Amino acid sequence: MVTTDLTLIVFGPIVLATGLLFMRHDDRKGLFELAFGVSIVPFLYSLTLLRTFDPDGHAFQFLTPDRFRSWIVIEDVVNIEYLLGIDGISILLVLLTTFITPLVILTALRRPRENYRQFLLALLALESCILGCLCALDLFLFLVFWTASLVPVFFITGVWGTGRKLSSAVKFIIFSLIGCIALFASAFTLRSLSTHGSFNIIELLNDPNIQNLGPYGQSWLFWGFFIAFAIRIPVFPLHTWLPDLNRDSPATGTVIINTLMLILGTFGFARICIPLFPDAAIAFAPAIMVLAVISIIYGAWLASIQRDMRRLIAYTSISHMGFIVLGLFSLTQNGLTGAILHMVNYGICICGLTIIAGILLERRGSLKITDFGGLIKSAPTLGVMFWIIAFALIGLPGLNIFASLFLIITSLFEHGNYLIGAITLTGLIWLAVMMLGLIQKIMLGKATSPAIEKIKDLDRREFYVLALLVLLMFYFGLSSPSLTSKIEPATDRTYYKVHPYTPFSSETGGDQ
Amino acid sequence: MFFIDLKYPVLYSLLLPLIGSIILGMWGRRFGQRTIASVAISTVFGSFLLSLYIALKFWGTGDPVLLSFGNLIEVTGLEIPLGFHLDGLSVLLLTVVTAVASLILVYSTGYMVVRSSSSRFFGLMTLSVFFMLALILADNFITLLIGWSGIAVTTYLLIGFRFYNSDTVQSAKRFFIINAVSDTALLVGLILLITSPIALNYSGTGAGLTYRAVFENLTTLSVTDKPFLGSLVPLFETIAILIFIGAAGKSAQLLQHIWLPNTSDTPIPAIALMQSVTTVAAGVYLMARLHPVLLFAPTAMAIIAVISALSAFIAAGVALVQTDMKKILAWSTISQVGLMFLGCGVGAVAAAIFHLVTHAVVKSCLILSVGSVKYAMEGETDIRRLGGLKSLLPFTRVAFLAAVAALSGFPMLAGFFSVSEIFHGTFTLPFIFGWKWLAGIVGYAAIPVTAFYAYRLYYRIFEGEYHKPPGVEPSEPDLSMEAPVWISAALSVIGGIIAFPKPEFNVIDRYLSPVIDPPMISAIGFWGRTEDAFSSYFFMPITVGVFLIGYWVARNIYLRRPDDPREFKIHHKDLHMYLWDELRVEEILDVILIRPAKWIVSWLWREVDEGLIDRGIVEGTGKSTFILARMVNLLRNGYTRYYLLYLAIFITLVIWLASRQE
Repeated sequence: MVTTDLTLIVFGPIVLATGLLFMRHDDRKGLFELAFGVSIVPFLYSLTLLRTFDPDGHAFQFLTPDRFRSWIVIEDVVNIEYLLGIDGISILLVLLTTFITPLVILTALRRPRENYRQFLLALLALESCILGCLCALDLFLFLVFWTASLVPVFFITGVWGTGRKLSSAVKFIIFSLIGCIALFASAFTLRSLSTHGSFNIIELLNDPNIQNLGPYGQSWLFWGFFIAFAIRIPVFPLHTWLPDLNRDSPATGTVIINTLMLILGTFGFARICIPLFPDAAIAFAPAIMVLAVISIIYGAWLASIQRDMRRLIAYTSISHMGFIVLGLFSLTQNGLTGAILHMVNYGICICGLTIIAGILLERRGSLKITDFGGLIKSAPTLGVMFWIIAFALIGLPGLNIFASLFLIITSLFEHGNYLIGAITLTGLIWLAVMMLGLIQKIMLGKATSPAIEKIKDLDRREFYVLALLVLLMFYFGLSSPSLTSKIEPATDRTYYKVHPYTPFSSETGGDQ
Repeated sequence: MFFIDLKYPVLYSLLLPLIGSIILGMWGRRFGQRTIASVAISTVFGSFLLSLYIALKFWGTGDPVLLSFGNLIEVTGLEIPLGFHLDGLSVLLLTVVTAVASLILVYSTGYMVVRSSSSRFFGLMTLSVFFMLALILADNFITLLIGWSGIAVTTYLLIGFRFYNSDTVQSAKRFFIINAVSDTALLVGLILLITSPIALNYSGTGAGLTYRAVFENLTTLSVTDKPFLGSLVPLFETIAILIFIGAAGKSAQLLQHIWLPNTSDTPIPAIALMQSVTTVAAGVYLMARLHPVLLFAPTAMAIIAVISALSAFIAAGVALVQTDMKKILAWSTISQVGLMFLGCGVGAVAAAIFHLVTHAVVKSCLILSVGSVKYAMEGETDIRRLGGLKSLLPFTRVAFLAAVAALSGFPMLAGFFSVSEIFHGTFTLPFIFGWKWLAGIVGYAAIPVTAFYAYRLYYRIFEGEYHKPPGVEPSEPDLSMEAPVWISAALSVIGGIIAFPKPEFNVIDRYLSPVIDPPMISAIGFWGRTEDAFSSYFFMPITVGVFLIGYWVARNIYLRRPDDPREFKIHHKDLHMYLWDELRVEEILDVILIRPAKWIVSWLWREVDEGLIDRGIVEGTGKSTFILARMVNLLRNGYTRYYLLYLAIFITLVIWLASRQE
């Protein structure tokens, strides 16, 4: 299937957002309406993509037509293509991105106070960059979007943030640039090793030269990409930028960072690291799984003693991203499917939690956990939403996170990783301890100050946003096949890429 | 057509409480007290009526009913429906749970009448009932887990109902964390079971994730492929222990019990619901439901039986010395549930469920009448400050006495039959070898202690001198509180008849034997053992005997001189203090687990996250870059001859590198 739909989705937000520039900067309502409208268009468009997407069809669909593909071409030297396309792995993430962005704009009606127009512009630019990363099938194009995405994040934090905003933003940029160097170096090495010297991921996937590098030849390239993605995820011990960035970003920025930016890292694993370097992935999977388990436990532990709610959310993210990495590097069908599913589920849940943090920040002017207490009396609806989201995040059966965690952990057990599986499950205990502690300190007990008693409950707009997310949590928790049916054929392909010699052993329930 | 099929009654009896709680959750705040209560009661009671209909109908056909709502999970090799399944075990518990829950809800209308936020209370109670029904009716392990953790959530919210009190919040959190630990164990156990070869159909797909498929596989294998099944026994031992840990967390068995006695500020009806039919009963149900797996894990069964018997005995011992009515009853629940676990551990599953049923009725009666006493005495729950209420609360007293007698094993009352049944199973079933003697004797030792503390409770509340607190005029509560107490008292008197010795009328046997017996028979065949021949009647006189010991001692001490004997306190000071402090499990856990964990975590943050990574690596990189730059800067000294030297070195290097290429 060859269309230009993806170009519209990827560039839609940023191109349409230029309309903001022609509006008065103090017309908040108008700016908001336009930005919301602009962000809703790609969402509707990606819904139609979901409808026409055929999970069992070609691996990559909606490819850019040939006549638009050539981008930077010097005969026999460089052939960089403009190639977009999506498969079962990325389609749900594209949908998630286009779905979350309008919600974020909706919750950011009142904030930031200054430079609202530029803020919306940065937000939509970020959306475009993320969508670009998800859709790019040319490694160079991917790198361009990847690097470009740093800019809006830097400005969102650096301009509209609070506290030590510049230092946090610079920390993020330095971490990310180290990743970018690794990424560029590996990408160009990969190109030089390939048969046709192209960056085209589809060609690289089937390139005999790359496939025949062997585990040790692949390992350098693998680690190059791995470092870049691991910084973005972030995997322990490359994670320290995230809590700081979370603390100092504006509320709206944290939603996008936690929900969508981090997922790009694990998406990179699924798109590049594992299918391109399967031998290296198999060789290093145990070590990476151990790192992932450390991330899970470490994140949950450190989250439990944070004093700032957004830092806490950051550590929760680190913990949950550990589950995704674990699922991906279990290198099993169900583990891969579970990991992709977990990206979506986690995105929905952490988006809800971060939006709640934003609401609390707006109402109370601070997110220090000790500044709260007994909030449920004045904001019961907020409390209920908070509870449901927290329960989802600690993997309560019936809510969405459980479905994906169950897949990941079952696949570990199925393939004999009993120890890792059991330790991973204890991560859920720590997450529960942490989340309940948070709820207890913020929601329950006596109101600690008169300011808390004056905090207003959710208004209609916030209620609908959170209710929508909560409904999705229940829906995907009770019928995960609606998502996995899209994901599974794609992860199967990745799985057979990694285990090419045992294509049909799954008939007896996994290769035991 | 509508009533031919049991599908719809089952569906509606499951969904009615959910609908009720959704209505209360969405619009409850706008309703008046009366409307709120009637929504809750009508949905649960409607569910009860339907379940009564189902039970009667089921008596005739006995065919399991299946309901399925799409798939929860569907990937390669795994297909788990959101499915429900009605068999004898579920029918029995469905009826009991909805019946007792209706009584408790009716009681709550009187009890909660002066309290605020009753829509939240009734909504949570109804939701709790719904999740219990979902658990009972679940068809497979994941649907079961949904009900299971739904109960955890509603219990957490009910314990923390008075959220403005920080102690209450702490006990709610304590419950949930213990529960998270045990749930994790359970999840590991269930995943082991799901991924084990037993769960797979022979066609190779994992569609066999319903219990029935797993258990049928077990039954088949125990006949056809003994060596293969034998090789799986170590796996089953692990699974059984993990499931036990999971069930014990919900059922507040020893070491995981600390949440149950510390629910002092929880509304009494909620306590009644938790301890009789929802939270605590859920663990027993789980053990009963998964018993086919246990039957192939003899060591685990022995461990479960012995630990549970000890738990029953020790918990009864703690109940001896407590002085708070609610605490005594909480410890009593721990002890009684220990007996049920003993039943599951020795393979006497039907007896355990029988005891669950009788205990549900008895315990709800006890807790509700304690609630009436508390209500009449304006919040007093310490038995040292109560006494002589015999003439002031005559109706409550009779009901309470009936329930106390039934709890402690008074002949021909409900508890008597079920306890005898459990010990019948303990001493006769062949699964755990000689351990059954240890478990049985320790378990039996709990009965006189039970009789003692139960009668102590009765005597100290109702007999003796009346201490009139200033400004309190105790009187019998309204009919809405009185009637449920009376009904449950009546049921605890006559409850034993559901296991009528005549097989045609033996409800327990009728409903449970199709579920329990086939795996039991195949397991007995697998182990190649036969049953000893003891009649059920053999144990009834023993039960009467041990009951009489406890009753006689309590009567002698408390009826004459209604005060705790000082001799015990003086002569066994340490033991008394140990029991009084409720075994000090929490303190021990605090020292060996919680404090070190807190210390480690803050050390990690301080030293690893901020110290090693941030200050060490990240800032170190920054600093070393800076230092490097300073060093490079030294080269820039302004002398042309140095620059020429650099140039010469550079050119030499380039030439050298270029020549190396060739």
